[in-house]
Amino acid sequence: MVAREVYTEGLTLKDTAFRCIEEIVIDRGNCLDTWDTVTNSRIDKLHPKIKCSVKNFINDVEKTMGIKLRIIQGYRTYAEQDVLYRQRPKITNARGGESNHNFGLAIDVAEIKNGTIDWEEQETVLSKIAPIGKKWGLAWGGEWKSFVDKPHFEMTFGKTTRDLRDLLETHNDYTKIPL
Amino acid sequence: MDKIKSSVLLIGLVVLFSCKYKERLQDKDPMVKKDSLFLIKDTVIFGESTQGTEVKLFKKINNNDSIIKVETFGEMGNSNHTFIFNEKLLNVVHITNYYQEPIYVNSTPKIRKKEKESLTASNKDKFTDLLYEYKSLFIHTEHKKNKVLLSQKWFGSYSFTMNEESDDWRDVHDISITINKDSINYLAKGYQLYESYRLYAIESNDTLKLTFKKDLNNANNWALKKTKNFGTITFDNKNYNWVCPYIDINFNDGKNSTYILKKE
Repeated sequence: MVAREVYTEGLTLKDTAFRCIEEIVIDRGNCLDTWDTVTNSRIDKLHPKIKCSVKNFINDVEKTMGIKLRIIQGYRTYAEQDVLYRQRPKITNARGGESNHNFGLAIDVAEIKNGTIDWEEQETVLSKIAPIGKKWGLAWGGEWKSFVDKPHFEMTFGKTTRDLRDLLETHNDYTKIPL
Repeated sequence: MDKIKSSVLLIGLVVLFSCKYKERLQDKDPMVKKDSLFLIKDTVIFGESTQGTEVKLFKKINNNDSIIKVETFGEMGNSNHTFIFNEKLLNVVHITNYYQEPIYVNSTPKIRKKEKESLTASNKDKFTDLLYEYKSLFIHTEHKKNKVLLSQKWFGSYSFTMNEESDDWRDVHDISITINKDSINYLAKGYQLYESYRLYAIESNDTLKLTFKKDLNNANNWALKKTKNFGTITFDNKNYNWVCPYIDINFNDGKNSTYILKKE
């Protein structure tokens, strides 16, 4: 609607309205390796389309909050997912190809403090860092209604696991799935 | 004496085997009676959980109540909802188990914390929303048989312009609700504004009660964190009047107003 008015009424009439846009600084991140070699090796296995967002997220959290995050789960193969599916007591409803982890599009993170993870503390830590994850385009499992999964972040580009399975069948390699 | 002993043993074995056989039959046949419940349908969905959600619809045989059982698995735990409902939601039990650490291959998750929640006045809206979502998984097939949830008189587009008289054109927002047999969509457009949500409604006489269902644009609007209540539309034989807490918070500085909708 605004663009149409500018077109019909001339730029000068609306230039004040657009002044605020100049003030918006878009931070595209620098996609540098993180502080943690374990995390870097797990990022290497993610889908190329989300690698930079994940690196920027972890670096941003470290820079702005002083919190050192580690990826504790990243890419999981179909075979590994099937092993989880067969485990008892039951821990998943998802077989190979039914979790976003199977396409390198999901991560679970936790804060590393003195070399260890205090899971009690993660309850509050993960809620604090979540807005930064969302800023870098990741959806946060802590906002889910059926089960609140705070360590979980994912970026699926609007694709369902069924879409992703079909794409994987065509492209054979999850890192080559077009997103 | 030995004969009596062996007879007792034989009877015991027969009873044991017949029980086992019965159990096995129950496992195989989904329609077999289980605690006076009939399993009507079940499905697994992969949406808002990393490890999938299994949803089962049961019917109680001694009355008309239905039960939906939902088992969701995540990386850090699991959650079980049991909804008992008839026309309305009657009761809910929600149990959440939190693991000590996330799952990984060959791990045996230990439960760190367990939480139990039941239906109260304060969580009724939240659970009613959830029940609707799960119920819609099974109602979907009924849609195919041309069953609609709302009466046809509500179908159409409703709109109004927020701050229409404002001197600053950037405050003017076009807000609309489109209702058809499959969905109810809310749309707000304006300067640096684009909100697109799926809503759902409960109809009662000449009133529609609207609630947020899904953000179609993943915009993470701040006002949604304050309320998901999209209020009520009432028809008074002349106007469609919309009382909407979400609009009040989002665009009206929290002041309560009634918005007059134009129907097309």
